[in-house]
Amino acid sequence: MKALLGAVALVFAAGSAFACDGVVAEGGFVRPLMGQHKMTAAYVTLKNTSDEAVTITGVSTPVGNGELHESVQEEGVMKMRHLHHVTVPAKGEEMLKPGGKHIMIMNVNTALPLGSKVDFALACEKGKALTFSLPVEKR
Amino acid sequence: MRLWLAVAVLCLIGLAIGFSVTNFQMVQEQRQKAANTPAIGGAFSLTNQFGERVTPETYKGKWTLVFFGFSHCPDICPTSLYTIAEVMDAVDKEGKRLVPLFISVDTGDNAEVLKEYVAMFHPTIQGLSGTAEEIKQAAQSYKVYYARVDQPESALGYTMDHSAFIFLMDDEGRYVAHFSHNEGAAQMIERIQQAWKEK
Repeated sequence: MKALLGAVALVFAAGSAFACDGVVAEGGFVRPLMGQHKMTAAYVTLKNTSDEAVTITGVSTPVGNGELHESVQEEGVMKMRHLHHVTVPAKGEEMLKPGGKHIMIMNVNTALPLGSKVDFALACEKGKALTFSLPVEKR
Repeated sequence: MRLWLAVAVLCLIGLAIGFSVTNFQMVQEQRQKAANTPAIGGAFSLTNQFGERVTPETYKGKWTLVFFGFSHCPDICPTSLYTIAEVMDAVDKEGKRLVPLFISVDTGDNAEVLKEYVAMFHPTIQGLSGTAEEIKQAAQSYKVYYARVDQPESALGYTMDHSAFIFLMDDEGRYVAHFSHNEGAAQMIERIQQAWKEK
């Protein structure tokens, strides 16, 4: 009985450890490189199907340094700020979109031809990363 | 007969007074209107992406869409530039009547950097850069705010806060309308076509 309880506890512990599992990435694209600058932005919708809010704490990609950023407008002035985390609400979604929260890729180490795919891994506060890839599109 | 003459003279005097009062009111209204129009636009002296010196005189005879940004800006500026490209494709594909002017608020931008940058969006877009003093003058002309903000904890290094309005100026360099960055291409297209109809 004790062993069974232990096993159940383990399963629950594992369940909460894999907190990123409730989140899926939908749609999205990466913009081509901006002229001479080795940087670009990526957008995707994150849907959380679980009953718990999921906090994304970072983003990595083999093509450069990934970061979470947010563009905000205050009295007509656009500002961009580095974000340390993005929370996807329980049974909700967070759209990473132009002019809002988004993924930035700096020090891009490769060409990003239109139509090519870029891999991403989002790190969550708890548990394993969410991986997906997005196409390079001009829009 | 004398009485008729007196009446006629009185009528004429009345008409003259009426006319001058109306005229005076019209002049007053026009002055008021001019005073209410924000004094947006004016002097600037910058360099375009081909290394040529440009001032408002350069664009006289053409309408312009003036907006400020910087090339080290992968989110907002490309979004505005894609919108401008959509507008140009719809209203004036070859830029015969309308020229978009992208004025960089970053002294790190120059003709060479902007040439490659603006070409990514639309062939009609002019990318203008300048010295710190020249940028300051252009921004003041358009009542635009900008400031460099260092981002030491980000690989980005720095960003530029800036007003994200797009100004529509007529062929004599006079302010017609402005759009905020989140207004879509459709609204801009409609406003430009309306302005051209009224002209």
